[in-house]
Amino acid sequence: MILPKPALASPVMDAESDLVRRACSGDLMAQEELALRHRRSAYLLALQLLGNVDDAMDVAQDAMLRFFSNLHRFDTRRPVRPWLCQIVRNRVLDLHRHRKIRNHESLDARDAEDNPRFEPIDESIDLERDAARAELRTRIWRALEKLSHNQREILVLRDYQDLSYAEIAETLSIPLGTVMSRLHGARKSLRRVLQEDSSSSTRAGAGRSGAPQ
Amino acid sequence: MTNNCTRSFDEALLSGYLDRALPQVESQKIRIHLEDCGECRALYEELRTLRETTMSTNFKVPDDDQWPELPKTRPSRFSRSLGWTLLVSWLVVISVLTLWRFLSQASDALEIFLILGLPGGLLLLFCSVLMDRLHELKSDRYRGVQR
Repeated sequence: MILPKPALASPVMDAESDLVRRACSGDLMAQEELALRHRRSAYLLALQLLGNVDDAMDVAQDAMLRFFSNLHRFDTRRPVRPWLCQIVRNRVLDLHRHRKIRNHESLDARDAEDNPRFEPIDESIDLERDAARAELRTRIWRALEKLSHNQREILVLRDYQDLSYAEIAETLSIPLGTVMSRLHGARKSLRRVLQEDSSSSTRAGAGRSGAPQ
Repeated sequence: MTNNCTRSFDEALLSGYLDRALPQVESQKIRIHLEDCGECRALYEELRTLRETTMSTNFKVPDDDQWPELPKTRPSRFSRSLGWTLLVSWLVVISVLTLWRFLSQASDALEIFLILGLPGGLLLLFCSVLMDRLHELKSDRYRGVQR
């Protein structure tokens, strides 16, 4: 099966390339605009990969610093976002690696002890459907922690960041064809974790209701 | 999928179909199969709900004032560090020369104390801050992160 080839040039990309070129030549307005345009996205990706607000801010700031330090090396014919995502991802991996070496424990274990996990904003209205969706959103967020790093990463890039398959392939440096199979595997794992979570809550509920008072 | 499903394609294509990432021919093949196969349709619907729910998640982002000053580009960082180096070197040379001149002309201990008191005190305070910073650097949790 051959996936459709991504279009590399578009008016949006031309404008972005121009912005990068101006930023490289020292145009402060262009630098400011680039920073405003991309730092939010860097922070959100870091947060979605790490699940911790403080770490996400540190990673995003470091990533933006690297983004601007290496701007002169960036190929302006390519989109900026996958490149920034790649920088954020590398910072996240460094953080994981560093903490594993230093503390002989996983990042998640450290977070569980030291920092409360971040929870997405719950803006549900009173309607039953919205409440159910808000609950599912929270369950999905928690279930992501139980997936492998690779699975979490690809789900975040596609479903939270809304990157195209071509952008994901570029960010993760994997073939385009691998994106779909890895993503499908991750989605099925997420579904399985949610199902297990549901059945264990049901069992716990049944146990509680049958317990003597 | 159980044996009831007669699909002749890789299951991963369901995700491709969901993400509208397939060519038209493949997409049509999946659509026709989903019309006939209840099991694949159930899986597809479940994955679609998960994706839509995930995409509708909101995250709070920090306010603009929580971000540090815009990172400097390479040329501006280079000129800034060169400027600082020149300025600091100039101050050090001037201070050492002035001190040496005064000391060579000083006749008693009080005069030496008056000359060395202020710069000596400032130097000791600076060393104290520097030692604190170095100690802090050793215990910094991000120290090992590759820069």
